[in-house]
Amino acid sequence: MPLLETRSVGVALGDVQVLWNASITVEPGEIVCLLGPNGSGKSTLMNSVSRLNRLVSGEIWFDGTAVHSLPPHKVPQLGVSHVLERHRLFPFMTVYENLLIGAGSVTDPAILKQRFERVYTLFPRLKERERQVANSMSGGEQQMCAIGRGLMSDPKLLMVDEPFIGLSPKFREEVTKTIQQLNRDGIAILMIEQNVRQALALSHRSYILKAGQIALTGRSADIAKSPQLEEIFFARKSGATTSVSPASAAH
Amino acid sequence: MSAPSVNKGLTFAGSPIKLRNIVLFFAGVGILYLIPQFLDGKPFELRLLTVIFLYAVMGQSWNILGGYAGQISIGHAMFFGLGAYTSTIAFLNFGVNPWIGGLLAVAVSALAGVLIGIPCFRLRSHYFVIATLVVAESIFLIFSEWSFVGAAIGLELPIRPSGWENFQFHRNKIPYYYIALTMLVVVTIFVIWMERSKIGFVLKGIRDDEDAVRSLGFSPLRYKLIAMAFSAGILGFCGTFYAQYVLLIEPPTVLFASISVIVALIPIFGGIGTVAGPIIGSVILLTISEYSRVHFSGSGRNVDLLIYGALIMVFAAYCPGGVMSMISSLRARFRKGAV
Repeated sequence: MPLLETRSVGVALGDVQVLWNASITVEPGEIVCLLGPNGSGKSTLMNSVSRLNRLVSGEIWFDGTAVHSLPPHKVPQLGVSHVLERHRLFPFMTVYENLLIGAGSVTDPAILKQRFERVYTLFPRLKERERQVANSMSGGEQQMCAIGRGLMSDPKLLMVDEPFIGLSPKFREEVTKTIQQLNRDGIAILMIEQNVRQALALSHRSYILKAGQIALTGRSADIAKSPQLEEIFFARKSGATTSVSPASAAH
Repeated sequence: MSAPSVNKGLTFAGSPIKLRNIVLFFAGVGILYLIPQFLDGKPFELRLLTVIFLYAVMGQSWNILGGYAGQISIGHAMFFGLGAYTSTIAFLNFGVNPWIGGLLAVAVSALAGVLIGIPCFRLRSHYFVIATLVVAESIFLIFSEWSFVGAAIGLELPIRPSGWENFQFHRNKIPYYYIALTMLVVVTIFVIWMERSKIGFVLKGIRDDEDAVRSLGFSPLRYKLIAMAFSAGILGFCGTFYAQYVLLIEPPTVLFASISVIVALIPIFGGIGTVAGPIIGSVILLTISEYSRVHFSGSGRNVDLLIYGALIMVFAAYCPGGVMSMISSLRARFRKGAV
């Protein structure tokens, strides 16, 4: 049984439907990537799993629970953690406070201590910055803090919306390693990424969205070789370019 | 500075309150409790301080919802008025002791806050502000017409013998000072606790990023309603205090929009979302208003409003964080200069 399954999900933002018939699955232990051009519905699909928007059709199941009938604040308690786009830390709270709020309703000091230690082992830098206000850190550190905050609820599935956005190459590498590490620790990962090559290299399977529908799906390694990939992102038929090349214009 | 350990008390408080600050707080409170000894025969000063404490409490309670949770209300007079009317009606119609009436006022105002909050919290930012204004105005109009609550004439509390059991003091008004001061101390300690508790952090989270709070597994509506209940309940007791102090309540003095404005203005001026802000705001604004009232007497009744207006403009332009942010930026500059 898949850990997460969306069945024919349709989402409307206000009166405008932006996602149709989206069915995805995430198996335990997988890294799954949602790819697609801007505005194709990646974040909308992810937000629908954490119930931040309204479904017009379809169902969402997580670990045997019907997510589509839950209020948003109940979803994290199932073991779904969502790191929103652009990290969305609480800017005037310290790193420590941001992490603590991520633990949700957990109050047992022993469990909290364990979770803090796990995040600090993963990101030693966060421990150094424990008492620092979140918006005084660099973008990469803030992204780490956001992932750390997502881990504080001890999720089975971590959803990360554009973890690499605005990061330096050094931090990209660090975040990539972290995601792989978390996956080895048994957390399933659903992520959104703009950098297609990097995302395909990191993930096991991918879904490629276009204009609110899933256009292509399969193992990431296969998709990377697929001629359709270019077609989706650049809206051109592979092999048959419509533009005039300088060489032919010269004739 | 040594690297902090994984955390000590596992509370939401980032750092424990410094012992020095605790000592200063209680020393200050102690001095305030002694002041009435020197105010014999100075009714104006006594009244000024009593009113400052009362409005500081009102500012604190507004700040819970407006400052910490970021839900700006311009309708808080309704909770003040509902509190005043609750204890007064309970006393006039059922002979309920005003102290118990005060507790009833807390319950009624808190309940009203929750009932009003459920629909109004569906609205965000300025739409919420307008909704609170409209609800408060409707309650003002209803109470101005409703004969059971005295309509526009209001309700007069019968004079009872002075004494703690009657919550009435006639010749010697010092007990009102003690009651108002005690309210301020209790509410301030409550706000300090709340600010450092999980509730406080979730409220601040809602102010900064409501969707992020929701995605972390908290129901923003539930926490806003908690903040509203605290905020409205405290104002309810303030209403009872006012009724017992003035012994006459009428819609224009306890339910009117000007009270909503001053209650919001005090913490905004002093420093929104800070513990000291409402106290500083109340000291400065009420001192101005009481002295200008005396100085300009009848002809200058609204001079205080002119001064408020000017102050708001100056602060909005140069110091939107209020007096507290001015103090902290001055401190930062001083520290830099010292190094």
